[in-house]
Amino acid sequence: MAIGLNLHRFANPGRFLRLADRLLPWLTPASVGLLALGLYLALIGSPPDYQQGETVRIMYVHVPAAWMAMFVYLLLALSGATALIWRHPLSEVAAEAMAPLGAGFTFIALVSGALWGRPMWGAYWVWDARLTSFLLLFFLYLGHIALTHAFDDRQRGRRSAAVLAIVGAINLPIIKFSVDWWNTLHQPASIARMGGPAIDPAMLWPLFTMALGFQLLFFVLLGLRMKAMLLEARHRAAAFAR
Amino acid sequence: MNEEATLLSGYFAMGGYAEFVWSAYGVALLVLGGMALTSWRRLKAAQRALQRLAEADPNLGDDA
Repeated sequence: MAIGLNLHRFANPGRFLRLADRLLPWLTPASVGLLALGLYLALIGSPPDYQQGETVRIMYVHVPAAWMAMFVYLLLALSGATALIWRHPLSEVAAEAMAPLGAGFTFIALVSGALWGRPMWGAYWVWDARLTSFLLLFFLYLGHIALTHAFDDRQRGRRSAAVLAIVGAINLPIIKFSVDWWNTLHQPASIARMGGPAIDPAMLWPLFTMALGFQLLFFVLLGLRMKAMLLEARHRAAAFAR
Repeated sequence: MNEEATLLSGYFAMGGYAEFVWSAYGVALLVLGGMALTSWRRLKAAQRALQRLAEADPNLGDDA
C-alpha cells in the first residue's frame, strides 16, 4: 500500500513538470558540452587503430548509439510493465515519448555499423546474429510507435504497445549474447568482458565521453517530449472544458 | 599547395576512408539534431497553445 501511494506521488504531472524544469537547465548544457568534448576527442584527440586505421573513429558514434538503443528499449519495457501493472499514467507518457528516440539511436547504430562494415568486412550488411537481432530491435521500435497511434482509443494503443515492448524485451539478451552464442562476423564485446576492457585508454576515454553525452542528451530530449505531451494533455482537457 | 592545406586535406581524407567516417558522423548529427529540433518545437507549440487558451479565458489560470 505504501509503495502504491509513493508511486502515485510521482505520477502527479505537476510534480514531474517541476522536476523537469529544475533539471533541464543543467542537463542540457552538460550534454552539449560532453558531446562537443567527445567529438573533439573522437575526431582529433585520439589515435588511428593499428589494424582498422581511421575507420575506428566510426566506433565513437556506433557504440554509444548501440548502447543507447538497448538502454532505451530496456526503459521502454520497464515503462510498459509499470503502465500495465500499476496503471501509472506518467509511465505511459514516458514510453510514448522515448520510443522515437530509441528508434533514432537504433537507426544511427545500424547505418554507422554498415558504413564501418563496408571498408572492414567488405560488406555493408551481412545476416549474422548480431546484425539481424539489431534490425529486429529497430522494427520493435517502429511497431511500438505504430501500435501507440493505431487506435482511436488512446489508452488501448498505449496498452498494446506496452505489451509489445515487454514481449520484445526477450530480444535484448539475444542481441547482447549473439556474438558469443553464434559465430558472427560482428566482433565480440571489448568493454564489458571478463578481465576488463580490451581497448586502449586513448580510445576508451573518447568512447565514454561520447556515451555519457548520448545518455544525457537522451534524458534532455525525453524531458522535453514528456513535458510537451503533458502540456498537450492539459490543453486538450482545458479546451474540452470550455 | 602550402603545408597547412596539405595537412588539413590529409586529415579530412581520413586515411582514404573519408566517405565512411564522415557519413557516419553526418548521419548521427542529422538524426540527433532532428530529434532535438522536433522535440523542442513540439514543446514550444504546446506552450503557445496553452498560452492562447489562457489569454482567451483568464479563468483557466496558467499553471503551465
